[in-house]
Amino acid sequence: MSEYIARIQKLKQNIQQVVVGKDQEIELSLAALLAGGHVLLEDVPGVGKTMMVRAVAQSIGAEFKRIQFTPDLLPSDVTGVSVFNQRTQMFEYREGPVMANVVLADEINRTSPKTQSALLEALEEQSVTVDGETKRLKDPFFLMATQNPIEYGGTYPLPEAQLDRFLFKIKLGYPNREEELEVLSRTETSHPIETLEPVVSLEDIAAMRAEVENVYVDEAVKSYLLSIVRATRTSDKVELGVSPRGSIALMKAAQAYAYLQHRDYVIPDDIKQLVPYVLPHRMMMRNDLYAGSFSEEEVLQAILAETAVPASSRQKAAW
Amino acid sequence: MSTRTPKQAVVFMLAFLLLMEWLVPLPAVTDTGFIHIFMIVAAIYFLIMFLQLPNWLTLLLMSGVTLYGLHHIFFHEPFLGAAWWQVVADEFVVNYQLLMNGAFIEVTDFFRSLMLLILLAIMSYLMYFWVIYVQRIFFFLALTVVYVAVMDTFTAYDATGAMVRIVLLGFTLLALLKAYRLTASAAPGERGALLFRWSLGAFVIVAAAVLAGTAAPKAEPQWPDPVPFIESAAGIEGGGGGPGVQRIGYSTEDSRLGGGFEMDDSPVFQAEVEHTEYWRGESLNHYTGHGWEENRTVEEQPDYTLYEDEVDTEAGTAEVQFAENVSYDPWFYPGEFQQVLNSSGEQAEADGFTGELRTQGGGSAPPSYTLGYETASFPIERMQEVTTNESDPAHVTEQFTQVPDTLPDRVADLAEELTEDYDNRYDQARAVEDYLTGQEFVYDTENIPVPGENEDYVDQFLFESQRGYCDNFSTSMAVLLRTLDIPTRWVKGFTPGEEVDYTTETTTREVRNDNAHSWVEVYFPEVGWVPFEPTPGFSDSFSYVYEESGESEEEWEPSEPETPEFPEEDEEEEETEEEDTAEAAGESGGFNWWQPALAALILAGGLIYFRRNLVKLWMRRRYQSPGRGAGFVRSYESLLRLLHLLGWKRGPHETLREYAVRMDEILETDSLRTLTEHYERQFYGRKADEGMPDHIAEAWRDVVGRAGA
Repeated sequence: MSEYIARIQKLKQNIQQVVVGKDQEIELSLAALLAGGHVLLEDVPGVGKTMMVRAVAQSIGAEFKRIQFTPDLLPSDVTGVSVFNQRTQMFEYREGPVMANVVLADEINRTSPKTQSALLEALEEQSVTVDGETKRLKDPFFLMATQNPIEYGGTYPLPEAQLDRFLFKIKLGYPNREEELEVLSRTETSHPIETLEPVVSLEDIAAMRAEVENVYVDEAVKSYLLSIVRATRTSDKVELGVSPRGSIALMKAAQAYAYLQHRDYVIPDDIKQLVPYVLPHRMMMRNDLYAGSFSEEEVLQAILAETAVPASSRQKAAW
Repeated sequence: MSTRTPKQAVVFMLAFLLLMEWLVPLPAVTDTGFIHIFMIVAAIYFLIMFLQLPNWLTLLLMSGVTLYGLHHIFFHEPFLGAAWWQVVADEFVVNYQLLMNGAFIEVTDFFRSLMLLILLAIMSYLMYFWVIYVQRIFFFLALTVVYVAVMDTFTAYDATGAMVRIVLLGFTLLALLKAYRLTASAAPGERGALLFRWSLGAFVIVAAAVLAGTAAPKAEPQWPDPVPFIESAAGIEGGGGGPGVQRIGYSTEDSRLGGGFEMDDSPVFQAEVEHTEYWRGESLNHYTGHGWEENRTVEEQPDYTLYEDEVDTEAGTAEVQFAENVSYDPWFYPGEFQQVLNSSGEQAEADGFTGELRTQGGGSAPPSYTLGYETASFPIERMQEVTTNESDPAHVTEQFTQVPDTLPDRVADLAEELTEDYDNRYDQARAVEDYLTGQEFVYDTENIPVPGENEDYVDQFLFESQRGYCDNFSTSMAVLLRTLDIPTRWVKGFTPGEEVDYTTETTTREVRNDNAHSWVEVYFPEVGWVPFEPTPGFSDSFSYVYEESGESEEEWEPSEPETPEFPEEDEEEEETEEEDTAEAAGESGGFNWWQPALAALILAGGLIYFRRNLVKLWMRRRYQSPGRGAGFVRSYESLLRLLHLLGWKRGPHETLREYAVRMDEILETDSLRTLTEHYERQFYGRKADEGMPDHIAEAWRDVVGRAGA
């Protein structure tokens, strides 16, 4: 992995030129990219969601497309459509915006479930089917969707089953004062995104993805991961715990995350770091008067505080 | 509080033991002979209380236990039978009437016992409340100390052991309760360790304090004894039930010994004398259990002689001049009385039984007189030949081996034990004398108890008070030897007195009230009555000789003028201190259990106190021989365990990295992070253990050094 250490470093720095003070979120976005997962950004408008996606896309020299989701958007507006060509007397496939390396699905909860599932199916299948013809998505394909947690009027909340197609759910949050000042300084003349140069090629990304798959996960770490996931299923505050798909997602995310820290093995810290981003949108809280009302984050913090970290040979011998 | 834990059982048990310290002294102030019943019943109360049964069941069980306890003490009727109920009912009726009439003092033993048991039952409830709910006991502990102190001060109860027990129990209890309160707010995972550390530390400190306190030499009280003042202020007559005895000078009445001896330096007489001899007043032969009396019931009584014909004697004269306004009936004389030389016309005759020299026709001794006497040197070999009492004359055996029937057996047992290694009378007498002058006993003229009606003077001194003055020591020696059928008699008079002037032949001595003394004489056939001095601090100035060499084993000691007969307070203290030093140095010969215990405690305390340094040393050693461990993983894990030992524990939920960051902040370094990353590579990353590269070794030393600092 040594040859990519410098490039990963450069990639991070490149994105940081545009996105101020969101190191952890940048790291997570890159982790999702390397793990072949997708990201759901949930926050108010104007905190840099779009800028983040564009910076990632430009830094890896990828084709970038943006879909603004509206209630009247049709599935074909996403996947593309076959159009009859008068000259050739044949239907011709016109690519939709999903046919790009990096796609931003803005305000995904504003469109109808029909359109939502057309997109999310694409995520799962790595391909779209238009008029019986299967078109493969580009490789790499990286989707970042955003949704606004404040305005719920006229929205179609994503169902649980579709939420867990996203590897991470990230909240960007407002920058602090210094960061915002920095943002102002940088955008004083022209926006730095305009001049951002690609530092990593798509081939590099593909190679890194292959390396991420080889990041070692020790039995002890897997055991720790499972302890946490299984605790969500037994907690009396949780209606529906994290599925095995969630376990796999957590492990894949941890592999990519470790890789970004220049490690070819996962440590419990990786798991612990990622739990708040990988698990919350994969569980359903019990929300009745009797159990009281807890957020996913609270429950997960409690679980983390109670789950023993495997850290010695003696503990290891027990598995 | 529905479940009870072993922790609660421990403190509740300690509380019970503390309460028992209230019952232990009761026999000293009441006539109860059933204190063990009360204790057992109290124990059952505590058990019932601890089980936290439903109220009705608790009440039922406690009533049952109370009734059975009372039954055991008072009744012969079958338990809970018809006759039994009748008796109990009668008791209640009688006592009800007594109470109604205000005759609270007269309630029967049954009723008083019932009251005590009810009190104990209430106490068991209170204790449960204090110890388990409130988890505080200081008030009760303080009360206990006050109670025991009062008992010790105003009654015959000796609270030395009780105080030690109370301190040990009480402070352990306080420490445990404090620990419980502390751990209640600690994180669940840390409770066990915190409790263990706290309790261990507290126990070591309490035990060390108690041991040191017990073993260390103690200064005499700085204040005069407040008891006589308090008693006189309150109008209470003397302690212990006997008459308030306070001896001053030579006494004429010895049937009731005990009480203090008042130091009074007013002169009695001056005498010009050739030898340094004790002044004899009289000897007594009958021990009553409380003191000495004359027994004149013997049929045949020869003249009063001290020395048999076979002993070498030396004659001398003594000229006695009483001080102004001092008058005594007996004529005091040294050695064996021979004849009156000059006495302004008065003549004296010696009493055949007591040796008392009295004016013929009665009246007190003349203001001045001169008499002739003899002193003897006692041949040790001949005394050592006496192995049986067969050659003792009948009248000697009859008069001088009497002991009262009430004398407790343990006195005889002690005499047996002291003399078992010796086969002759002389060595046996010396053994007893050595024992009495040894470290078991303290010379003291104050706070000497007067034995109660059912107590024996000797028994009380030997086994309980163990402090006293000449009367205690001489009486004890006489009685101890008598239990072995060795004839002894108790002699009283004065010590030789202080030298005030001397010529080549004679010495002028002044004898004062505080020279009054008593000693022992032991009978040896063919030698006579040989004096022994069992009182510590008195120079044993009689002449015992080995005949063959002709050398005196112990000669007269003319240096006496410098030393007052009754050692003064400071000397006495010195002596006690010396004894204690000897004890501490282990020269006393006896096995002192507290010495190894103290050593172990000091060692344990040292280990705990220096544990960081020790751990540091150990870690360095471990690192310097890496070949022994299984490489870095083992070493790192042991490092973590040692950090735990030093009190920095990794929470189970903490990852190694989080722990390392936290620790590095505490230790102000980043070395543990370095070590941790190295460990992670091997532990989570399947990397080969490369041992310790230099930078890792450096980090290791850094952590060890900082952790140990």
